[in-house]
Parts: sequence; structure tokens; C-alpha cells
Amino acid sequence: MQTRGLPGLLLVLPALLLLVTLTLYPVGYGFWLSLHAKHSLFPTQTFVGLDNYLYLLSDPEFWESLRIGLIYSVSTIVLQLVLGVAAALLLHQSFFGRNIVRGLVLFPYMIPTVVAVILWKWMLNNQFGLINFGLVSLGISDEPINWFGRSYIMISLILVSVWQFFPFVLLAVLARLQSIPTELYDAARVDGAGPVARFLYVTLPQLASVLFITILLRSIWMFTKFDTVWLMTQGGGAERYIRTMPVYAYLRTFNYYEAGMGSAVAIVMFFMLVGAATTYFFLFRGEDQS
Amino acid sequence: MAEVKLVGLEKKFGDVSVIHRINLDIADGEFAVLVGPSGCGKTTTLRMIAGLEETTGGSILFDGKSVERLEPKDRDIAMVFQSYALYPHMSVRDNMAFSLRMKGVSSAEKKRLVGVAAEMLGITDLLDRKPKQLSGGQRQRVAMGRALVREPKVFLFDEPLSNLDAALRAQMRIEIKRIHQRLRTTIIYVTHDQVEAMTLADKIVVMNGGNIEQVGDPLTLYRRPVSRFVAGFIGSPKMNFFPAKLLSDESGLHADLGDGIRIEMPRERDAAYRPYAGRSVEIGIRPEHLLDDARLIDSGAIAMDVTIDVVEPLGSTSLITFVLGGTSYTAIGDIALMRRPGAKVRLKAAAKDIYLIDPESGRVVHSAEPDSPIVRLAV
Amino acid sequence: MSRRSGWQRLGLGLAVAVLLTFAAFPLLWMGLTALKPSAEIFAWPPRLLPEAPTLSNIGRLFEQTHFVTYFKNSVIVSSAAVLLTLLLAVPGAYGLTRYRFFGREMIAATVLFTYMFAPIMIIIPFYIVMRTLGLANTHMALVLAYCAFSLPFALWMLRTFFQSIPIDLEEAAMTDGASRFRAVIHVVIPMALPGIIATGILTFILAWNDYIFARILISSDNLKTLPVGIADLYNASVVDWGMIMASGLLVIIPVVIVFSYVQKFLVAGWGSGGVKG
Repeated sequence: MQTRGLPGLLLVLPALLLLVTLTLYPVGYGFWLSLHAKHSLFPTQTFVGLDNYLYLLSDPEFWESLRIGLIYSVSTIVLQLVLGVAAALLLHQSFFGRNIVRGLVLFPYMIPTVVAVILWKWMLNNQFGLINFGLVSLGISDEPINWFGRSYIMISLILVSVWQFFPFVLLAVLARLQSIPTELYDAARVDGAGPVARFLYVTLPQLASVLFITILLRSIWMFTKFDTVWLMTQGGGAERYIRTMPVYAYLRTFNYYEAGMGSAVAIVMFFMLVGAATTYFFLFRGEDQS
Repeated sequence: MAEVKLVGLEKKFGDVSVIHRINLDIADGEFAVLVGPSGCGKTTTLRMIAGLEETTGGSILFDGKSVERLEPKDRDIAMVFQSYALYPHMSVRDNMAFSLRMKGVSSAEKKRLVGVAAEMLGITDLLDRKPKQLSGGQRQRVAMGRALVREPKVFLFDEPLSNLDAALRAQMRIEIKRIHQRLRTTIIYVTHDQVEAMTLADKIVVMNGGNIEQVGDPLTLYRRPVSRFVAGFIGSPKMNFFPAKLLSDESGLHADLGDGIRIEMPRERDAAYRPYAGRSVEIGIRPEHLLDDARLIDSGAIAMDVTIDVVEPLGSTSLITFVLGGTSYTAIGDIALMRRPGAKVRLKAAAKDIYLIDPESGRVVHSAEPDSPIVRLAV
Repeated sequence: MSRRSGWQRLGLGLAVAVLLTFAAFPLLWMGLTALKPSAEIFAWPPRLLPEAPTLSNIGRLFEQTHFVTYFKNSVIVSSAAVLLTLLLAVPGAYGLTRYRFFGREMIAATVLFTYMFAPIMIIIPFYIVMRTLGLANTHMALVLAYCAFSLPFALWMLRTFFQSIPIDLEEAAMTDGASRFRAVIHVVIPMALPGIIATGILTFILAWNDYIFARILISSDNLKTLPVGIADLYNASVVDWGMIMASGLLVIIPVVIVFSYVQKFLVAGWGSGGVKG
């Protein structure tokens, strides 16, 4: 009963209109803004062409935010992939209480970012934190580490982000693992494949498509991650060392009130992602992605 | 090529026993079919032979050597799975060559073996395709090809045809039989379809509730089933079972089916049936032996008058359904005498074609000698 | 055949324990801290379990802060976002599944494309649009924002659900004399209900957890939602750890409750289609 016709379009229209006005239009409007010098609060603006972009080219703070953003996103993506896949393989095994463990392990992803950040700020607190207590009493470190100081803030941020987001990878991979027919493993065993060969020739090829899409989504979302990073910058005095591009765009707009410049940073981010995603598709999209 | 022996083979899941110490001998080169309703333990037995399921007791012998501690790959077997279990990301060629690759066979030899198997199954054109580009029947062939290239001692088939439509199933049945006639490798084949069992097997193993009910060649199982279960399972349409009382008078033994229907028991079975005189029994008659024709006029013919409920014409014959004592039974009618529902009809059967079943034990009571020995023609 | 040896079982148990500790212990520690009096919170060496468990942290949270207002705001905004999203997404997904019309695939692709957007890419123009419309600093702006951000995955998830319902059932209902609308109400919706509930819950979690939109769109203290309220509480002055941990604990309780319902769906089937962030 795939009915031809207008009623279908009418049913979709409200949702579509909302999506267009509240997401697609703002992206276009953001591009328009980036060509203007505009104060964030007042309704006036001047057309400046590509001046905002040209300014960014010679802006050391912009380049620094790009460098920090790349360090942050690449390291968190790699770590959450490794941890997420390993955890998925582990939780795919059968053991007592598996369902409860599966549920608990997903919690970091489901709780508000602000809670994730404050609880890690408490865990990593340099005076009363549990982590420092552990490190000092195990003799790994002589004195408590200042996790929010200049040298360690990036590591702390990466730790919190990986903790918060590896369950996404875990969830995606685990769901795929469960859909691999067990007969394939039986067949491989009869064919003489040991555990390693079964992982390489049965499991891994089946995971290829889910890893492809997971890496794509995680990369987009880590590169544009704002709330975790922003909340980590609050207090501690080392904000500068984790100022990624999204944070820089925010600061430009809401602290310096340069909405045009802030939009330019966001648009640069957008085009970098489009470019990276296109390259990624071109390089890795095998003929048997399904 | 191997002879397979199961000795006291047992499987328990926790405290629940699903295979109860079964014994079975399969000769070298034999085509053995394990058949039974779902849940009878046939697939578990096959998986234990394959090494995919652990045994909890007894042993499995290939050519006298115990294999139950060996990994599947070390048993020299090949298996065809119900869902085919083709590796979705590999081409047909790579699927077929996978076991050879695992064994480290040289690529020239791999190419030759895959070529031979593909030739035998007529899938040479498909070698570069992926499984999802194949039809159900083609996938089935590839799954068989993957088993063939290994040249194993034993082939294991787990309901390989159950995902195919009827026409394709009949075609593949012939194909499998042809391959067996050519290779003469031992085959153990699991199915729930008694037609497949009858047409393919040298030896049928009927399983029920984790036990082996009967082992034998197809005709023996058809003619001399040991139990009500086997009698009802083998043959289509199913055998009719009439509840009856076995009575004895001066003319000999006869069964009273109620509604005034009496069946004389053949005299030569008197000795075997005598102990059941005066007791409730079941009388089994296959539909194809219960005819509405008047051709059976010999003295041993038995007759019953019934009212027709439903008629299903099949072309060459028709199926007649009638009701006795609230239960439906089936007989075969002559297509020329197209009967109408509600009509009275006299059904006849030859005395040799009736079975007496002890309802307490479920055993079929046989006389000492087969009624009609099976004659095999030497070729 | 895969019976594990003693060593393998030990290794597996250890690996699970390490994973569980990493993922869940920080949350447990937060809960334990929330129940400790401040003398114990700052005890050195720290103790795992509170010796004299207390609700005073929660008490202070209720008395000295606007936590209850934030909580109420969060409930209002999140529920409204769920309602609006489902109201738009259920008919939308049905239309995308059961009707064939020009541009359908393009619409579906657009929806998937917007799924990849991150808030920061649209927040600046979004804020200015809301200011222009006079909606800045209203709950309405938040509801619209959450709806816009939930719609892509809501449409995709529900579309998958509708696709899994055999068309035969609707046709059966229609041959039984139901109008198309009644067939949908009596047959399709009840069958898709688990999917609709799951979609609603994921929308709720997204709205409940959001920080960025609430930070930027809301300026009055009495309109703030929980995440922003807690962040401000933390930034206010000297950090009252007991109270902060208590607020964290209270915020995640609704998430824990609703999440236990969707968890089985998430792990069982349609994978990661669920959430974003």
C-alpha cells in the first residue's frame, strides 16, 4: 500500500518545515553572517565580504584553536574507538549478570555533560580527589597532580570525553556483533579457522560498515564538541590550553560580541568537515558497504 | 571415507538430558538420514558429530578412532548449514577456498579444487559473485561446493533444503543423490521431512525425544515400523490409527472398531496377536492401502462402510476423508468414481496391510516373519 | 563446545570488573559523596562508604538554591519537546514510509544530513533568529531547539519501526471496513508503540541533558534548566562539593529510570541510530 501522492508529503511537511527553518536556514544565515561585521546583540550589520575569513588566516588564536581542536578530536576518537570495540567484544561474551553490566556501562553516555564534568572534577580534585589519593598512596606520583593546570588539563579533558563517549561506539558495535549469525562461526570452525582467524575473517569484515559510520559520526561530533570542553574550561586558569575551535567560535560571539567573526569560525569548521568527510568517503567506502 | 559409530552418546544441558545415550553405526560410504520432528535431538546429534557441540557422555568414533575431544577442523568433516552460512564479504570463489586457505593449500591446488567442485555443481559462472548477488538455489549450491572442495571423510548436512521452494527442493534432492553416487563419501543428513529421508537415504534413523526409535532402510521403515511413532511419521498421508477392541471367537481374532465395523485378523498372525485378545488396541492402516474400489476381493480383504466427509481430487486418485467416533481418517478413492460428500462408501484393505498396535507401549505387534520380504535385484 | 578454562574465566571476570569500575565507579562515588557530611567528604584518606549518611546536602540544595525551580523548568521544557517532536515525527515518518511521492528520497537524505549537525554549527545564527522573533529567553525557544535537534533521529527511528510493520495488517484493517486513518490509529500505532515510546525517551534525555542551547538562549535565573543551573552553582564561589554531588545525583535519577526502559531496545537491535552528542 505504497500510496502515490500528496497526503504523504502533507504528513511530512510540518516536520520538514521545522527542520528547514530551525537547522538548514540557520546554517545559510550563518554563512551570510560570516560575511558581515555584526554585533551579537544589536540588529545592525555591515557587509565586509571575506574580511572575517582573511582576518582568521592571520589570527594566531584561530590557528592555535585548530591545533588544539585536532589534538583533542583525534586522540579522543582513537581512544574511544579502541575502548569501545574492546568493551563490545568483551560484553558480547556470555557471563553471569551480562545484561546489568551492559546497562551500567552505557550510563556515562546517557547522563548530562555537566554531571560528567563536575563528577570528574571531583574525582580529579587536587586536594581531595580520589585519583590523586590513589596515585600518591600507590607511589606512582610523589605529590598530588594538578589535573587542571596547564600541563594536565588536556589529558583530563581527553579522559572525561573518552569516558563519556566510548559507550556510543560500544553500543553500535555490540548491536552489530549480535546480528552476526552464529552459523558463520560454526562454518568457520568446520573450515578450520581458529579464534584469531575467526576474528579476522568473520567478525572484522562484518564490523566494517558499522565502524565506517561510527568513525564518521564520532569525528564530526568530537570535532564540534562544545559543552564538555567549555565546562572543563570553567575555573582552574588553564582555559587557554583547551580552547578548541567550537569554544573559540563561542568566545568570539558571546564574549567579544562579534557574531560575524564567530560565524566565520563555525563556517570554516563546517567546510573542513565537509572536506574531510568527502575524502573519507572517497578513500574508505568499499564496494560492499551496506 | 569413514565409518561413523556413536556409542552411548549423550547430551545434557545442565540437568536436562536432550540425547539419551544413543548408539548408531553408519557404514563407510553410507547415506544416513536423521529424521524426526523438531526438538527430537537430530540437529544436536549432528552438531556433536561435527564438534560444534560438546558431548557430555559416550563417544563418537570415525574409523574406530575416538574424535569427541577433537576440534571440528581436526575431524576431517565438511558441513552444509541450513542458512548456508556463506561469508557475506567474500566472493563465491573465496568462500569455497576458505577451508583450503586455512589449511595452507597452495594457490594452484586451491584453484584446481575449487574448479572441480564448481564444475560438478554448475556454478563456474558464479565464482566472482558475492553471496547476496545469488538466488536461494545458487547459494545452496555454493554451500555444497564449499563442503565438496575439502574432500572430507564425512559430509554433514543440517536441513540444507528447508529454505528452498518445493520445485527447487526436488531438484536439489536429485543433485545431492547424484553427488553421493559419484563420490561415495559417508553422508549424515538431518531433516524433518520424511519425503527427503525416504528418497535420499540408504539408512534412515528416526529420532524422537532424544532417542533413536528405529534404524533401517526406507522400505523396512515403511513396511515394518517398530512403533506407532515411526508408523505415523513415515509415509504420506499419515497412517490411520483406529481405536479398537480385539475379540476372539470361534472364527478367529477380529477387531471391533465400533459403529458395527469388524475387521478379521489374518490367521497367520494369530500367534502374535493372541495375547492381546480381549484388550483395547489400535489398528493402523495406511490411506494408500484403504481403497474405495472393489478390486480387493480375495478372502483376506477387510471392509468397512463409512460416510464420506470431504473429497480432494489429486488427479490420478482422490483423497477421501471420513469421520469415525469423532476422529477424521483418510482413504484413497478412485478418481473415476468421483464420490460426493455424504455418500456411503465401502472401503477395503488387504489383510496384510493392517498393523496392530499395543496402545500401552506404542509398539507395533509384528509376527515373526516379514509378511513380504523385500527383494533386491542384483544389478 | 566453548567451555572456558579456569584461566579464561578469571581473565574475563577481571576484564569485566575493570570496565565496570571505569564506567560506573565515578557515578557511584558521586552518589556516596552526596550522602556524606562535609567532614567526611574532605577526610584524608578518603573512605568509601559514608559513616554517618546524611541528607543535609540535598536539604541545602533545596533551601539555599533554586534547584527546585530548575528541576521544574527542565521537566516542563523536556516534556513539551517530547510532545512536539512526536506530534511532528510520527505522521512524518508514516508519510515517508507508506507514501510514494516526488522528492521523498531527497527529504529522507536531508533528514539524515541534518542528523550530523552539531549544535555549535547553528547556535550563533539560531540565537540571532530567536532574538529577532522575540523568543530569546523563553522556554519556547528551548522547546523548538530540542525538537529541531531530535527530529532527524526521531524520523529515522520511527521510519524503521513503521517499515517493520507488515503492510498486510493495514490492508486487512481496511478490508475489514476501517478508514485509513482508523487503520493507523487501531493497528499501526499500537504496534509501533514501543518504538514511539523509545523515541520519546531519547528525545527526553536529549532535552534533559542539554547545556549549550539553555546556556545561550536563557538568561533569567528563574527560567534556567538543570544543567545550566548546576554549572552556575559550581561556578558561583567556593565549591560546596557535597551539594554539587547531590545535585548531580538528583539530575540523573530521571535519566536512569527512563533509560532502563530503552536500554534493551538499544542493545538488542537498531544500534546507534538512537542518540547524538
